Amino acid sequence: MSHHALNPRHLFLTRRQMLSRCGMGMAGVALNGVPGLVAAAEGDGPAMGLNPLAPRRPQFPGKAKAVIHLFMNGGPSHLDTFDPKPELTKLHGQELPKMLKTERPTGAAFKSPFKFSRKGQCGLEVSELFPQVGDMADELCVIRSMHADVPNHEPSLLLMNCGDGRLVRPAMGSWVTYGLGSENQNLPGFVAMCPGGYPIQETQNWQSAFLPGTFQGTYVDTKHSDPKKLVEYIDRKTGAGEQRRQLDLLRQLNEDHQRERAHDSRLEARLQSFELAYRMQMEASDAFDISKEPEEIRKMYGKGTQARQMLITRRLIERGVRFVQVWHGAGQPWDNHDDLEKNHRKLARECDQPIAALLKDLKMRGLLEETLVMWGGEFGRTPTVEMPKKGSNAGKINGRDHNHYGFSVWLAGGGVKGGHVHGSTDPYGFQAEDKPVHVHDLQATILHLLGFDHEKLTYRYSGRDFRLTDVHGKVVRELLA
Amino acid sequence: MPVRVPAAVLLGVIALLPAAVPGGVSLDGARSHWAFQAPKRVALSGKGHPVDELLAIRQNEKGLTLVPEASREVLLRRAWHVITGLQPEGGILAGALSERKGSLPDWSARIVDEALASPHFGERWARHWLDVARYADTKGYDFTAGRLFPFAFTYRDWVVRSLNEDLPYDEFLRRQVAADLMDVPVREQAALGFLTLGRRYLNKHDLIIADRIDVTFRSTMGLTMQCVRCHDHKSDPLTMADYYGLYGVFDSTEELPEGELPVISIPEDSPGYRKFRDELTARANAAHDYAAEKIKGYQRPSNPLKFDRKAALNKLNQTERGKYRGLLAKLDELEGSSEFAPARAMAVRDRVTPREPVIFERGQLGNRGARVPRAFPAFFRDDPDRIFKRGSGRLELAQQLTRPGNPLTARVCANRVWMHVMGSPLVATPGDFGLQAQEPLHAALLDHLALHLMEHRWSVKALIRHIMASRAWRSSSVSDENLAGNDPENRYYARSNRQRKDLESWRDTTLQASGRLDRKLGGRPVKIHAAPFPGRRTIYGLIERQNTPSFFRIFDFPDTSQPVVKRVSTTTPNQALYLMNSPFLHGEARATAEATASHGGEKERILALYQRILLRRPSPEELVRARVFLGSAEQGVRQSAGAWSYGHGRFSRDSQRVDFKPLPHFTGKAWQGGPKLPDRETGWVHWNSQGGHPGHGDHAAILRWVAPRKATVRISGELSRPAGKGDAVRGLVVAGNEKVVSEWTVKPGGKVETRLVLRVVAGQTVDFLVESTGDESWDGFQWAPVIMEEGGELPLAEAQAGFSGPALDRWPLLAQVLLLSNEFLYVD
Repeated sequence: MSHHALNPRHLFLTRRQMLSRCGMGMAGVALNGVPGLVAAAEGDGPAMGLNPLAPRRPQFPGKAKAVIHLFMNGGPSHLDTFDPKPELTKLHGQELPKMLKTERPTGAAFKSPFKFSRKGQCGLEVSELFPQVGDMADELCVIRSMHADVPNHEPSLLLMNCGDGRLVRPAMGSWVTYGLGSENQNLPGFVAMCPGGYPIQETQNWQSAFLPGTFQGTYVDTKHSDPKKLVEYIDRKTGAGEQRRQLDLLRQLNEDHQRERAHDSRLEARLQSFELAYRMQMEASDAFDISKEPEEIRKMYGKGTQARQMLITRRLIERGVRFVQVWHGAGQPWDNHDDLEKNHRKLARECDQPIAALLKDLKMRGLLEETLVMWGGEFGRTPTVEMPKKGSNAGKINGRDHNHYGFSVWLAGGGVKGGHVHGSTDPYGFQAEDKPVHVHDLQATILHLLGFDHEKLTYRYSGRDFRLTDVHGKVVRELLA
Repeated sequence: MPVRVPAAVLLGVIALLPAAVPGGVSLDGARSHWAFQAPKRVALSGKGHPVDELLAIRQNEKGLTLVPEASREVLLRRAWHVITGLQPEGGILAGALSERKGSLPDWSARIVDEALASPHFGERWARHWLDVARYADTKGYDFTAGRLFPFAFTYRDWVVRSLNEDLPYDEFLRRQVAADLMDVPVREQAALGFLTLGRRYLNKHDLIIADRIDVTFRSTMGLTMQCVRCHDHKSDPLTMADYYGLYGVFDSTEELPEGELPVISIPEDSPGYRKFRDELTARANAAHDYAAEKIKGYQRPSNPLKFDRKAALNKLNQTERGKYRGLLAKLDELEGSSEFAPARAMAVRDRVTPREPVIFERGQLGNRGARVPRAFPAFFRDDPDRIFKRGSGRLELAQQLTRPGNPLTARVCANRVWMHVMGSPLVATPGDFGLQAQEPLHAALLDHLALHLMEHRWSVKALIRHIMASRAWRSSSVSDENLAGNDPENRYYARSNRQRKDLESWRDTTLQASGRLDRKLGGRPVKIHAAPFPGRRTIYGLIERQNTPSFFRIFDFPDTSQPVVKRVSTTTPNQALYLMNSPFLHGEARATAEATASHGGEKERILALYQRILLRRPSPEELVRARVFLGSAEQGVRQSAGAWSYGHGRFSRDSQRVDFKPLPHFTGKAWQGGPKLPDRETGWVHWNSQGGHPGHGDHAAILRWVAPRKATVRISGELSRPAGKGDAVRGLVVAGNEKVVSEWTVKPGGKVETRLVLRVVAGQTVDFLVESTGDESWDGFQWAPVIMEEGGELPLAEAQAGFSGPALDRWPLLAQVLLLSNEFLYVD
């Protein structure tokens, strides 16, 4: 994927050496070979001690090697972005023939205030909210028939991220780094970026739950522009020369200690971890420092927080980070129960150019082929207008309620069909109708693109083999290129 | 206590099992599953220790010979690590190593007894149990109420005390499930925190109950009840009827409202306590006043701290309820946070009328299926017809869990105790003893340990003592070619396992080395991960279930959403970064070095450092290396570790010069003249990350920045004087120690933008001075300048983000190396 300052395989023992020298159990094989085929034992200590983030092969060759998840938290309206509904426009102000119960009361049909036009060679219809993303239409694979379980944020966020709306389960990024490790040992394997604070459900969105803590998403507040504030404890408080001399003395001390304690590879692994950390201080500052990008690249992404975090995303992916999740902002910015037109316009303007630039930039560098980009929220919004309700909205009657029955998500790169539309909602956009895709199906498909059978990427915990898709999920083959 | 119900009875039970067979599970398989049999007694020859004799069965089959015994030094460190999580120090260390009389086993037994008598035993072993009990001080994701459980700590302290007092393990379990229904002192109700302090799942009742069922069964019997919520167990003899039978038990149990939790200890009378009482009464009266205003005929109780919250809430409308609840919350908040507040137990009680459970099909609330009785899981009942009859059935549940005929409870406990003593469990899945759990290699040994536990009044201390009296425990942890080849995982225990310190023992022993360890037992949790890094033991750190601070996550602290029986252990560069760069470790390195400062000579001081941290003398080569390291270290040329320096002094209008004197003392949050303010010489002068305070006369507060290169810089920031009293302060920026480039005066309560553009050359100083005009009282100010390079996107320097404590000097640098060593982290 990209060049690396070091090959992590050289830092640690090879698998065979490990098996012969320190006697890894089956769990060790699982983690260093094909995860899930042999489940890791519960709380398996020593095996995890040996660099759990070392890169690993998937179960079968996957098209995608890394994932970028652009999370439009709050629930962007599919009807105003990627799922045009002329029928809804016709019925504007009238009662829809079909009403579904959502979180709050809704009323008459509410047409999209935005114009749609055909984009790219494929003629994909995209609304005026995303003109520049629309220009990349030939890369996009839009799923218009997504559906989830309930119309509430908390469970829907957890379902999208962790495969279960209520219980504590590992995030997709944790599963992916558990399965594949990471290509860069100087950076975290799973990074979650959100400017200005947390989305709702907070760190649960990138939790490792029962998977080892090292697979948890590393949160980065992209409100900051100083790279030193983005990764914890990366800021060296001792002069570089002094720290080097400290580590040299430490090495001598540890080598003497190890000499009398043969056959314990944990000691060597820990010694190496200090060397890795020493290099990480340089590399991480570099990865997050977008001022090192040439002027024209920075121009392409534009100005502002979204531009910064998209550009950081590309720098991380380029350096081999496995899973990057980018949140639009703290709380739930896309949750426009009121003033949908004004707010959606503002939000889209913030991220349209940066997202388009990210796609272009990845493509230019040949990274898009092996990087799966996913755009979407936790659900979509109702085709009907939200009615006033005391204590929950301002009652302006110009917004939409949550809609888990039908919504859109798009994928790009990483082995999916470009310029493709999959499935559809009913004529009003209320409910997935043709070829419905449940969130678990999407997750199964993502794991497939990475080279995993979602039923076999498992972790043994509490007497049971757990997986991202629980007991559900079907790979949507029509999406695959 | 003799075991009254041997295998025959258990088999009888199984034969009587009801016809309700769980779907897909072969009952024959379950009946013959090794873990579901009563522990069997094995005939022993009586030669040697039973543990060694039982281990030898397998060792001989494999042809393995034991490695030699470890040295006394190693055994002493090992014993204290296993038992207390601390290093032996001072008198204990010297005493144990000079008292070499008698055989090694006798000596070893003495040091083990000494460690077991230490109150720090309870702290170490309580932490093991708290992992299983998914302990945290906060509720998890919940924005309807305060996030903190104000009294979780009383449960934690109960666990520590019970272990120190060696409360029999069966009783230890029973009280955690049903203390309120037992004839025990009120303070024992703190044990019920076991049930109540789980994650709150946005107050979804069915999920809170699921958590309670799960923690109860996983911790005691090693059974997983999670899956049975939605379907019969795929491998174990557990059904949905079993699950909802237990659901009924917990559904018939209710939490006490915060204000009604039983008081378990009242602090001694003191001015602080009286002040607390007065404030509490005032807040209570505010709530009564409000209720009296809104409710006709409201009866004020004679004791203002008594409330009938329910009755009052029922008589208020929605808006009023919100207000009334807010007033009550203020009351609870004071009770939960004041150190003078009486401690309370997070107790539960039975509902007046028990609820009759039904099965929720597919685990969906409201999808009501058949009715089931409240009862113990059918397969594990002592009598198939026995259902719970008394109230919720919680006490009967506790009794079933701990009845001597229960084949699992003692085994599960014995396996955990063995794991914590020996470094690896006998049953590889210590949280699951169901059908998927393989029979352990040393099954006879596990049975022996389980019987030992039950026959020695369920004494955990006795079991630890028993294991640690074995030759196996005394073995060296050094492997050899033969063992490395034939038993690399040490499944046969022909040697000892080298143990890595976990988060708690690593941090606690670091505090020991620096001399900062606070040995006080118990109390409210403290934020140990943030400055000023209190020296309490790690077990007293505030555990946040949601957004667990990275300090905990980095060092493999377990998830607190669910029981964790065995922690994972990782080695990551993030740990190394923390050890290399964190303010905590730098503080410890500095304190450790300072603690050896009284040793005059360099050699003596090095010896003292080695002794403090590694409990030994350095070898001659190590001594030479340390001296070379010290000799080549840069002398303390820099005051702070960052780009800024913090000082006091004056700007002379005549000579146009800044007389800058660095502030000598760093509190962890601020630079100042000495440990206490006002300082005799410099008065109130100090700097923190946001601003500071000038002194009188010649003691302006000065923040100094040195330009790293030639550049045009843009300085921004805001100088403000928040207090509305006193007189004005004057801010100056002096460039290159020669001219005032800007000057502002800020009146009380006022503020001013401090913007300017400057050309600087490498090494040039830029000083930010704040002078007092007139009297320095109330002159506290905020000023945290940001320096950008013209055209650059990132700041060259930011006073707030770049605020830092002192740079490490050469002795702390050496101390830090020793604290980072593998020798310090791994216990042989």
